[in-house]
Amino acid sequence: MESLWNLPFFQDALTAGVLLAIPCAILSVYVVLNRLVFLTATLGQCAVAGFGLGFLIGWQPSLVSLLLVLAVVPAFLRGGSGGTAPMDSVLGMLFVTAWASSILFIAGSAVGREEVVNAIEGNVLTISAGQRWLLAALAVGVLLLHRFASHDFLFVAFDPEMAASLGYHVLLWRLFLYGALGMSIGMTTRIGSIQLVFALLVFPAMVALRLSHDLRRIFMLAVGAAVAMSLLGVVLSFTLDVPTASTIVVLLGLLFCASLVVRRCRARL
Amino acid sequence: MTRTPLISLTEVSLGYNGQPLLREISFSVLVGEFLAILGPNGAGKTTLVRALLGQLRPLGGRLERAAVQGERLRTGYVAQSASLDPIFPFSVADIVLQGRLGRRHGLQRLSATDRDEAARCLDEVGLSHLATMPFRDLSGGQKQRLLIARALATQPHLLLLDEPTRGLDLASRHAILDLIATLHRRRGLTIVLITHVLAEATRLAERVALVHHGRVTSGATAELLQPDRLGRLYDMDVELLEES
Repeated sequence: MESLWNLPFFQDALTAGVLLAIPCAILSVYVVLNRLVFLTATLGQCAVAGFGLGFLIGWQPSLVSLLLVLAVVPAFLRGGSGGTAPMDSVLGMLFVTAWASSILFIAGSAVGREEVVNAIEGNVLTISAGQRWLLAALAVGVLLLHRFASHDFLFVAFDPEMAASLGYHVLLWRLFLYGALGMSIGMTTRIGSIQLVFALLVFPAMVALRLSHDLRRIFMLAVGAAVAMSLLGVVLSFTLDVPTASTIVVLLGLLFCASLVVRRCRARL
Repeated sequence: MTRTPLISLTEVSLGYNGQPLLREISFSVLVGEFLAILGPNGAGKTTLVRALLGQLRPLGGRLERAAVQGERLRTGYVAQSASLDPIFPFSVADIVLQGRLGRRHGLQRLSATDRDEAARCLDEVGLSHLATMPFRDLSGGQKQRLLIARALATQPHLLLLDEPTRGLDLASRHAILDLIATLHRRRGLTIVLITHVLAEATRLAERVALVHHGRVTSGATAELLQPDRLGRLYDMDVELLEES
């Protein structure tokens, strides 16, 4: 075990886990509070379809994936209230279309098959130095956004009419938040897998919201939970020789169950 | 004494996608007055509120918002508490501080002055002892008081309340109306109350604006709230009873 800690690629995997966990955990609180879980799943699927499309047409897959996700975001800024089509139905249609498209793109492109399968199954173990820097930049960007504008993002989501009466441009603020979410999904899915990124964008906030009513603590708990489970997941997957992303997701699920138990015990005291 | 208008609408038409819902309406909100906007459900009250808040551009006519002592008109908006999602883990103090967010420059952090002002507003509505309590755990009446405190924290020139007693029990309704009347009396605050409860308008408002069939008629409360006018407004026979 001691020698495992000295292996460079094990250290890289741990670093990748932490760098992936921090921005996703912060965003997870916004995702859950804004009720954007289904949008997040759909954007993740669009990201995978983007990789496939990139390979099929011979463009840089990550760039096509990011562009596709960012192109989809503006369609959902007005939520479900603006039109006659309910938002969840539109998201459902887009989700399944993106899913089917990714299968067709994979089938049409022999070169992309392995890459797209990697994006679905996840492989934080093979992260490159460039991808590490990309994740670090994303983590810094999300932290800065959160540090300077968390009150504004939450206020606009909580009471858009009051926010508008105070001079906030509600759609613009939503664009910032959804754009940050879309960019994070587009940048991380290829590194962490759609499964892991989606889990990191939902579970940490759900765990933290079971354990605290205080906003500052909720963000800290979410980051703590995501980082701890990512590290533990990497170690366990190495030790047991099982897929890393799936191990982290299962650990996050178990942590959520534990948070429910803790909450119930607290309520009884 | 002639009062200056804070907001004046001249032959304004309001609606969505080019389709007017309210046509050529003309009335003013005057400095220091208590105006009730009254009308049945679906008459267009919310559309009018959005226009008064500056969130909906008129399809036609002129809507003017006066500057007050060189400052842009500040409107403290009080939403219906039921419209706010209880999933947000805000405390009472967090919510009242939101009223100060629009007073900052850019993305500046809230200052000690902001916190003091928020605490003062919380005290004014009698909720300072609940500052750390989660919003979701408050009663309906307490939530509405908190939203009034948040609106006061914006240091408004005009307080606009959208059906603040909706869904409240009798005691909470009276408490909220008493609070609004006190704010009007003590602060001399201009108040616009949106309601469909006639008794609230007759009890508190000096003037009313009746929204009906795409039009708005405004005037003194005693003059407009007559059985024949109200009968036409609600398409039914109306009898006014003395409040005991």
